[in-house]
Amino acid sequence: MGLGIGLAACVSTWPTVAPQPYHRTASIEGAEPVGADECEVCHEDVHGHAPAPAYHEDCEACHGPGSVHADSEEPADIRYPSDSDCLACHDSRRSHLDWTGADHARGDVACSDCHEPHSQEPKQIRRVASGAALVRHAGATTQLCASCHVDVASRLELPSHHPISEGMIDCTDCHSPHESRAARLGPATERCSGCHQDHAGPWVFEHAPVAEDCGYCHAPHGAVAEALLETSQPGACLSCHTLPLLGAGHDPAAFVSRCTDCHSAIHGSYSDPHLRR
Amino acid sequence: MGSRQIGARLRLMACLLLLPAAGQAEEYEVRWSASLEAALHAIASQEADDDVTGFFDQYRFTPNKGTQPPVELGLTQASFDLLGAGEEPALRFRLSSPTSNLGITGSDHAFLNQRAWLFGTERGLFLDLRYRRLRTEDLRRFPDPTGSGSVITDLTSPHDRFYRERTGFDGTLRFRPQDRFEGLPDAFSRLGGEVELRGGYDVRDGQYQRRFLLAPRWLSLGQDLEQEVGTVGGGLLVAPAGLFTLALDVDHQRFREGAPTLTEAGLGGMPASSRSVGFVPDTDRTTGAVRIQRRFGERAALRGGFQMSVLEQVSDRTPDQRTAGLNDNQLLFTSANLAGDLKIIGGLSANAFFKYDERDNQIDRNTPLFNAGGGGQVDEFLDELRRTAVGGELVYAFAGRNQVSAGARGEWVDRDLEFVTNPTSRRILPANALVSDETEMVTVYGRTRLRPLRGLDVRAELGYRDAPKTGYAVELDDYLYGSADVSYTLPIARPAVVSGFARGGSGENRDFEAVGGQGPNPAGGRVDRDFERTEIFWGITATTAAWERTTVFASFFQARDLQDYDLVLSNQPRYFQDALPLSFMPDGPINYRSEDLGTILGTHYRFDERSDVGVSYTFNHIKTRYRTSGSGSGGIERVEGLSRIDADIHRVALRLGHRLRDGLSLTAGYRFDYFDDRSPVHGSGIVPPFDLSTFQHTVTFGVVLTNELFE
Repeated sequence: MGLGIGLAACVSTWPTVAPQPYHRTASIEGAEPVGADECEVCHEDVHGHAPAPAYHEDCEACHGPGSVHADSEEPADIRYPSDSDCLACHDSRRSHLDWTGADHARGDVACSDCHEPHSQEPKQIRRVASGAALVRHAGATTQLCASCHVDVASRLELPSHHPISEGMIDCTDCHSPHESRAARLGPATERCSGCHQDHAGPWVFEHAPVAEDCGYCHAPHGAVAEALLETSQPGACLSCHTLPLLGAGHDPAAFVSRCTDCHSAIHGSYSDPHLRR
Repeated sequence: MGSRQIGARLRLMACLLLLPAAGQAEEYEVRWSASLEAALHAIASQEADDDVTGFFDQYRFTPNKGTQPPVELGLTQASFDLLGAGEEPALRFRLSSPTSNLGITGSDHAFLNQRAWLFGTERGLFLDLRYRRLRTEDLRRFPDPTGSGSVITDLTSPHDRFYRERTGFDGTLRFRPQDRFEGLPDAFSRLGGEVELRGGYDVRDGQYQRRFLLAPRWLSLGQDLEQEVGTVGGGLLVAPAGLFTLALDVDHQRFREGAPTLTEAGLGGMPASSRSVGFVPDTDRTTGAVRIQRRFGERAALRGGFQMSVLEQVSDRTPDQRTAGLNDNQLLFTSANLAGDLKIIGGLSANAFFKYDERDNQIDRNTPLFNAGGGGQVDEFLDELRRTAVGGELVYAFAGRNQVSAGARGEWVDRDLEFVTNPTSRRILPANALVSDETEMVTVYGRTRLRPLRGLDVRAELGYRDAPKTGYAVELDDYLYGSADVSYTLPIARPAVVSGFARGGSGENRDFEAVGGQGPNPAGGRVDRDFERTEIFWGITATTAAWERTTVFASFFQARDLQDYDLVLSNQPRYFQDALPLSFMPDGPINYRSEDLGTILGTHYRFDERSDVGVSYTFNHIKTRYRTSGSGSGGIERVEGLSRIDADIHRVALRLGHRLRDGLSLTAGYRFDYFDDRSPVHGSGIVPPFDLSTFQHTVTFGVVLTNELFE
């Protein structure tokens, strides 16, 4: 259904958007400023948006001098804003403090790959069609992420998943696209405990992996096994734990079900060191 | 003005929030849109009941399933924009309701799964408000009692649904005085300050199925949750004369669980015990952070930060805590980082990072719960955790946006593990702990992003990790991984893109072993607990609008997870090693295999300027399988039988749209969802076994309105 709803969104709502082509960001040699009025002679709108919303001042502030382009009308004769152009104004934002070290910046993803400066969409999020095809009801931000991170998007439809493709949460509820995953401040569990406070403790008896990284057991983007478990039970447990033959109901002949059917307080407990209640 | 810039011109006196500093009324342009949709469902008979949670209800709850036919009527999408001069957005509102119900069939579950955003901007003031309501459901699970010897007592009702509903608001208000007020002192303006206030409130209720052994019975019951989360915070950001940017932030979170505490005695445990069941603590979390960034022109940048957070149990204590006198229970997190980038010469640059995390469990351990035996601590106690990560990378950029890089990163984890010291207690000894006190990992990698031809974009990474010490058996040593992403835009006039990705990794862990014998220095037989894992994931996608009226999309992906290790059995639980000689036995290899593959095919066709249609088919196949051959295999095979996952998911969607006139469009759609499950299912004495295989037909009719209708 992914594409159906994604394409359905095209119906009478927004047109299919072409894939983002590669644009040059280098300066145009010999170009002189011509002023925004000259640009608007041809560019009545830009992808349906006003060419220069007031907060972006004028065309050449971001695109550089436009005389060569105005004469030739060749797309190659105008430059597109680089990150430096954007950061010249947007540097001192809380969300941009770590941008230069962000994984996206390191991967040569430009601000304008994700943001459409001419758009009136919140945060100028660029609208894409290919992401919509992968995630059903997802918000514009998630569809944008999915258009590049196809591998992650394909996990979002597995039987156990966060309700992302249903539009109830977005990628940016957990991830900040403007920062480095490796150097991010805070413990690894912080992303999860922002919503799952009831699994964060502090426990009297705690399951050690819970204290370190939820990712030891869970695959947050989607999993074949229930509860976002990276490996279905009992494998998720037996890869670390040994199994007593006798006592504590662990005789294989006496197995009744999944490990967590008995060890139901698997994240931590206030009354049982064996995490059963 | 652009051709799409059509809107009603309204003269509005802005509200207080949006009042311009000059006190003048502004002329605003209003744009809005709304989509109303009715959905009629036909659902497989066993699920066509309001009391039954089916597979698709987990994330897309259908209200009123018991009615004939179930109908949803909802405002599925709405937007409202207030644009000022130069189309500068002053107010933007967005509403999205993937599942909603205005209640025309009598449901008391209106507006489920709904989100809304309100963004306001007015000269130095920025408002960002978010609202969310969502519902997720859990499938009812039961064990297979055959051969267990346990008596199963199911306290749930066949009418129980296990769900969580969450309703919440949160928002941010930012204020930049230099953008709002003219004539500020120059020194103040150069400070580049910003003040931010944040807050939120979230309510969650519902119940979940709890399953556990309460000897001699195995119990299933519904446990309520009534949770509230309140957050408040704020921050200050300054960028004096652009020299550096400094941000100070403080946040406080208050989490409360209002559901009553369950105890074994309350559930009929014999002998009656005051031990709590599924207790969730009330907590307060307070976090403070300082971050600083300094940019040295285009040549270099430096960033650093420090964060401290306290998570503390507050309010209610369990009966056990009260008996033990355990009142202080808190975790202290400390984190610091430093990172920098430097352009060395030409296209050559370098970057590096350092990160340090510390977790200090400050629970009061001078209580009987930790060292006095009789129901207290058994395994290792993680007192303090210190994690250090460093990395460095050299990057060479050439010929435009091509780059190659090589780097290394290391991670060291130092754990202070405390073990029970009382030899009369049941205790796991260090020789057989499942967590070791150190992790050491070093990874070297090469990475590239190349654009060798116009339209061709190649990204790839190849790395190797050496881990002399690992903390857990599933941490991989001798790990080789690689990834590649290739995208090619065909050199034709209309858009056509073919892209593919591949991910893979393989490694092992040979650090852990089970040590037989008795006492703190056991000298019995040793059994290796080697673990190996290989993951492969690849996919290919094609998108084209190569024809004037038609868009085609096709995607295929496949993921495999292969895990191999020995099942290790013991004659006794590990915590008897003080009292009894322990022996471990390898019981043959376990081979875990997981596979999922999927495909998405779709097309969109535009008949003319007024009408179009979208059709798609989505297929997912998912399967897991355990194989084992030892003496315990009978049990493992039975567990495998219970846990086996083997299913196909088919989804078909069709949707037609027709624009009657500017601002008024009609839509009609059809969806077919089919979940074909071949996994074993079990019931309880109360609830019969429930086959998860199910289907749903959904027919939708909608109308889309925009402001253009009234112009």
